[in-house]
Amino acid sequence: MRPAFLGFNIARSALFTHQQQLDITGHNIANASVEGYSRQRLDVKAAPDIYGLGQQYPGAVGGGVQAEQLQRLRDELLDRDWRRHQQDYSSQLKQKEYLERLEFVVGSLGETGLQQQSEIFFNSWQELSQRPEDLALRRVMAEEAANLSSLIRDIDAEAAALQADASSELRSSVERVNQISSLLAELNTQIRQRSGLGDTPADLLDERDRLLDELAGFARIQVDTDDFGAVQVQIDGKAIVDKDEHHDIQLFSEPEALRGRQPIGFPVTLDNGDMQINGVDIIGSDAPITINSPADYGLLINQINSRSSSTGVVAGVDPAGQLLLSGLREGSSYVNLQVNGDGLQLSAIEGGQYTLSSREHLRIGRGTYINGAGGTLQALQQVRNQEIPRSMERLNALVNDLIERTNDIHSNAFDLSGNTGQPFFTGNHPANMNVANSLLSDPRRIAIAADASFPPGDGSQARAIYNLRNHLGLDEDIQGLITDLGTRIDSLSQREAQLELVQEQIENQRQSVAGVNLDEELSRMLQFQRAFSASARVMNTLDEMLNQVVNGLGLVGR
Amino acid sequence: MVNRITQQIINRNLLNNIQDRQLSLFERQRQVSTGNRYEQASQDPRAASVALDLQSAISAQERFGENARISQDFNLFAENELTSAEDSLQRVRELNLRAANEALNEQQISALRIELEGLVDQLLDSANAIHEDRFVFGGFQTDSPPFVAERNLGVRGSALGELNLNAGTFRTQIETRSLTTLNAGAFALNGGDLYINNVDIGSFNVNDPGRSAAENATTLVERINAVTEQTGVSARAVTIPGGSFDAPGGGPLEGIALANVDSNGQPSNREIRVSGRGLDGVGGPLFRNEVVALDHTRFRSEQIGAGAIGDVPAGTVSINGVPINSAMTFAAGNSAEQNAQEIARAINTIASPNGVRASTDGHGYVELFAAQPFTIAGAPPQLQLPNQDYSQNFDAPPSGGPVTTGTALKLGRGSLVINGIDIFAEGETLAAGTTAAQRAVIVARGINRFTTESGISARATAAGEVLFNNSNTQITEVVYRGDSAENLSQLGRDNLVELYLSGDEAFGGHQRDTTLASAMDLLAAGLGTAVSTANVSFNAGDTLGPGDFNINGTDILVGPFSGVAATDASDLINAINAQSNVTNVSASLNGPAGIALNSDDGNPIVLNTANAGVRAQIPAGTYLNAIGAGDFQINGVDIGPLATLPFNAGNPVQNAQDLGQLFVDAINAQAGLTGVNASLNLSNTGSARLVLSAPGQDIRIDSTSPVPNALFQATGLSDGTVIRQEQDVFETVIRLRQQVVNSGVDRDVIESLSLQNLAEVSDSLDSLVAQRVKLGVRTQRAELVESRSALNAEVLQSQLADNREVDLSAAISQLTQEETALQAAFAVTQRINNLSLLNFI
Repeated sequence: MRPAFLGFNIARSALFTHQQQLDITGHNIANASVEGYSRQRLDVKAAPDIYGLGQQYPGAVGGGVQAEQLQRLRDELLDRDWRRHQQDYSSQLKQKEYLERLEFVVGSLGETGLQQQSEIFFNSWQELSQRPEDLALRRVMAEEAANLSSLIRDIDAEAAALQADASSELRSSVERVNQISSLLAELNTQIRQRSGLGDTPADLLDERDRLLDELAGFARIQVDTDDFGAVQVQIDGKAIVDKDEHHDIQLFSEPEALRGRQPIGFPVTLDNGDMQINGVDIIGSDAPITINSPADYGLLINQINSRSSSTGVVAGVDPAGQLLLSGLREGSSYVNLQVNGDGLQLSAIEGGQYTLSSREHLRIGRGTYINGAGGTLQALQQVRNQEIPRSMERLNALVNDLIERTNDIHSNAFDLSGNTGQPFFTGNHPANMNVANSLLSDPRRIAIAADASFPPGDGSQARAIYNLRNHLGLDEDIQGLITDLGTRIDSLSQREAQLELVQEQIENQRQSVAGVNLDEELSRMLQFQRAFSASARVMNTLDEMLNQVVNGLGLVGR
Repeated sequence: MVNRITQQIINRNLLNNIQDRQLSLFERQRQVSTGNRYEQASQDPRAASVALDLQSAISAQERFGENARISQDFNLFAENELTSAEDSLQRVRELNLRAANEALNEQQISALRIELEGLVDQLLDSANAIHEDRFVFGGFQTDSPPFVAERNLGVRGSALGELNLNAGTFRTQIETRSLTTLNAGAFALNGGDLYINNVDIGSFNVNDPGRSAAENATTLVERINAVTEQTGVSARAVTIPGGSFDAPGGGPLEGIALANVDSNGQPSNREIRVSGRGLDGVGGPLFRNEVVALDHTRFRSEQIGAGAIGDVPAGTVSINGVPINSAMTFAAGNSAEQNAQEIARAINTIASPNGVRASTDGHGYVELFAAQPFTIAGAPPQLQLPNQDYSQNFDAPPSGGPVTTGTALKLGRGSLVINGIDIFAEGETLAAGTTAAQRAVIVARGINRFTTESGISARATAAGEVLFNNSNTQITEVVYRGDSAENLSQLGRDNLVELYLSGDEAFGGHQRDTTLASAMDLLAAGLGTAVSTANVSFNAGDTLGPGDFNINGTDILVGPFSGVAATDASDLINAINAQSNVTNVSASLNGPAGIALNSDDGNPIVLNTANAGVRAQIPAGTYLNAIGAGDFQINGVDIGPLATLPFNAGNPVQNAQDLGQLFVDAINAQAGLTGVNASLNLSNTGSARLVLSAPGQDIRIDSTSPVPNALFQATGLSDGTVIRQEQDVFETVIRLRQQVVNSGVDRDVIESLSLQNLAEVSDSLDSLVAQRVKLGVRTQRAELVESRSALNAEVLQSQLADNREVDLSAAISQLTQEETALQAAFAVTQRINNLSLLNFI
């Protein structure tokens, strides 16, 4: 027996389904330009013949149409692909951004560039060597040297500032990452609840994907989805989001220290000049200082730290009793250490020129370090901890060489009044390099005579300083500094351009799957509208048919 | 590949494309507006690294070019000055020729003398030429005239003992120094306070309590120098070490030094007479009323060393027996001048008891002044003050006391020569029985006869002393005060050229050593003929085969031997001599049955022996001909005969050096006669050459050896080599002038003297021309470098332009293309966005 109202049910299902289809189409159109929106489709299928009518009648009649499930059109593989490239891409982009700023400071090719200035500096020495008694030339030379010094100080200051910028961006990036991971944990909870009810929380999923996309820029993430639809996010194999939990990343700065090879020696008596840091005599008028036992270590530490404001260096002792020296500047500091007499026994650090750079590390909780986070996080670390310090170290090495060798010649030469022993440059690293004040104010004090009777026409030592240019390899060093930086940036931009293209491709493919095509939606809208009308027409026909049965039967012959 | 397109894809792609187009448009626009293909190294690192290289190469080339221009300027200037000096000298030569060829009367001789004096002045002008505010020919001493004309008193002669005169050259410039420093603060000089040589320095008032002592000293110096023309005294501010002379012990003070000069600033002999009411200085009067004259003892030390030269404890040094009870300490960082000041300070602590005052010259020399002779004892070498009496040859007074009396004294030619003028060339006799005073009058009168020529006048004292005065007219000597240094100009990385020319090189040959070096490395060889050390000892039947007895690469083949030594020796000798034309070695009998080998051409003999060849008893080795008597002469003095030297096959380097040392020792043993010293010049590979040097004289090598090349092979010096001493231009001219005067009108004398002078003048001229040519060569070289640098810089510039600059026309056409492309992108965007299904439903 076939149910009388079966047709009504079929028509009703069609009406409802098409209405829903129209709603979804409307939703798709509405979100057509929303970033990260995935188009939705309603899975429909023919309702089965629930009454088993097929047994009585030949040919089965289904129960109309039935909405199965809301489908979110998205390709997870493409997402994975995109994110993998995204971290690489944003890492290159970020490094490039910082190095370009550094290059702007260090690598200017124009008149004000380091190379040009150093050439002017050396050429003015040579000019002077030919007219050694010319006071105007002496003054010009001193001014050019002062210009070079101030350029080098500027470069150092800019590099240090850039380092500080990288630090602060790293800090805010870490904050944003932590914010994202807390949002992800929240979304995980909601999604689990909804999908537990058999629902497809498409828009929540879209929101989560958007956050994951953003996170992929910060770091190389690994995303795993569990059976309940919750994601686990890992960076460097360490989970930062797991179900409804998240773990904050912390930023941790570790200063680089010069460490003595062995514990501070004793008994040692320190005299004037036994230990000089950045040109400052640590002992000075307090000599002699005697270290008789580890209990006296504090004496030395205090001595060094009391001069921190002029040296920029602080001291400490590690538990093994080894001396630690570290810079005061955030980022990189320069330490010029000179040890004489008992100084070496004391410090167990060879005298020399050091560049100390503090490092920023990432960790989760105590002790779980994240190395190689990838993305902008690693890029910033890289820039902050390595790229900029590398350039600063090179600058430091060449500046120190220049200062030492120039001073060596100048302080052994005689000025126009027969004075000798005056260094040309003060300071011993890029941050404090300058021309000795007395030379700037009195060009007669520039010492370029080799002969102890200081004949006024003796310019041989000016030529000796000019020759440093060749012997120091200063030209090569400066060129190396500039071109290495340039090459690094160039390779970064090439990789970046390449990745951009790849990302473009993947994004297009993602869009191809998930994006809303308005024309498509419009045509579907027409389709559903027509189907709706047809369903209504079916309903109408059934109604008429029923009317015929109810009102027209039994009136035969009337 | 994308197989489904959405509006977002279309729009994003369009936007990306537009962005790309705009980016390249912007980049192109930057290139066009700046003209540079890239601004930062990162935009094209490979090109940038080349560009940096190019830039530094260009800057170097430009610098080299500029240096070349400067060195041209400098050398050309020096060359011009030498050319005018050459003209003056050419004139000297003409005058010289005239003196040699014509009979001159007294008037003509006087004219000649005056013209020669004028020429000395002209030469001086050239030698003291100034270019760009510096004295060109001063070496490194560019701030003061390098050539100073001294008007000194030169006393020589054969009768000085009888006349009780000291021989020597007595400097006429004297200097006196203030006793104390000036006071700081307001300063007042009133008329009559200070007379110098009876000229009132005048009055002035400075009412400024803030003035330093140094400023006051400078003011007073200016005042004194304003009247130099009248006083003949110039002043300069000096630092008096260790306080004043009379109140020692303080810090260095600003004082004043007065020196006698002529109107040209050259030394003069006028005495300095300081008088007046007096000026107050710190702790005492500034000057004492005194007359400083020629008859004072002065001494200038060698330059004191710089640095810690070794402290001298108190009481070590004494002057006139008075110990200096002040220790001298020399700190490590001290300059020479500071050390000199320390010495002067210590000496001045005892200035008042013994009257010896010390000061420094500002360049690290200590100068001592005293009115009387004095004695220094106990001074260690670093003080540069010889322990001796300072009375005779150290600018002591010319007169040692009254003229001797007694028997008649004949004064003839050469008995007294004042400034090169022979005073008694015509003869004078001091009769027996005359008193010292009478004799002194005669001597003084003789001297005064030639005052015009010698510039010196004399007077006799009642005690019979002859005292001298300088009329300040004659240049007796031109002293070079510069040094031999020359600044170098960089014309290339390893291409240096000298700037200017030092004066001693250009004018003053006497400053420079004559040197001669071996023309080849000394050979590693024994010195002395190869001889058998015993009789030959061949066995009967011995035969010399190939390699057994080889001389200079030729095998001597002989045998079989008989075993009888005398016969075998003569067989071998014959065999050797048969090959003489090949080996250039001949053999002769040595002893009963020994053999001597002699080199016929002087080349070394290289002897190799083996097997039976050893029994000739001549040790294998390399031999040089022995140097016997007459074989090696320097300046006519025989250096030989020299000891033989065995061949040292084991250590050829040592061998050559030992040989060199043998020559050096032999030559230096004769240095007193030859005036030539020898040393070895060792190269870093150990090879050795002889270097002969002679201050102020010729070097001549002669050899009487019959073997032509023997000396050269042994020493690297050739027979007949003559290295002429360069002539000092001024000395030559001044000597010529004196000799013209000395000759009087004696035709024979003037001719022989003139001929002798002619050689000197010609030599001087030759050396001057040589120096001028040297400068010319430098100028030419610099010119070449300048044009080459300019060319190089141009080529490099164009390379840099290729590297760095954009091709504007290409860039602009590309710019236009990109504009069109951007417009197209806009148009496409618009058209695509217009297409929508919406328009059709």
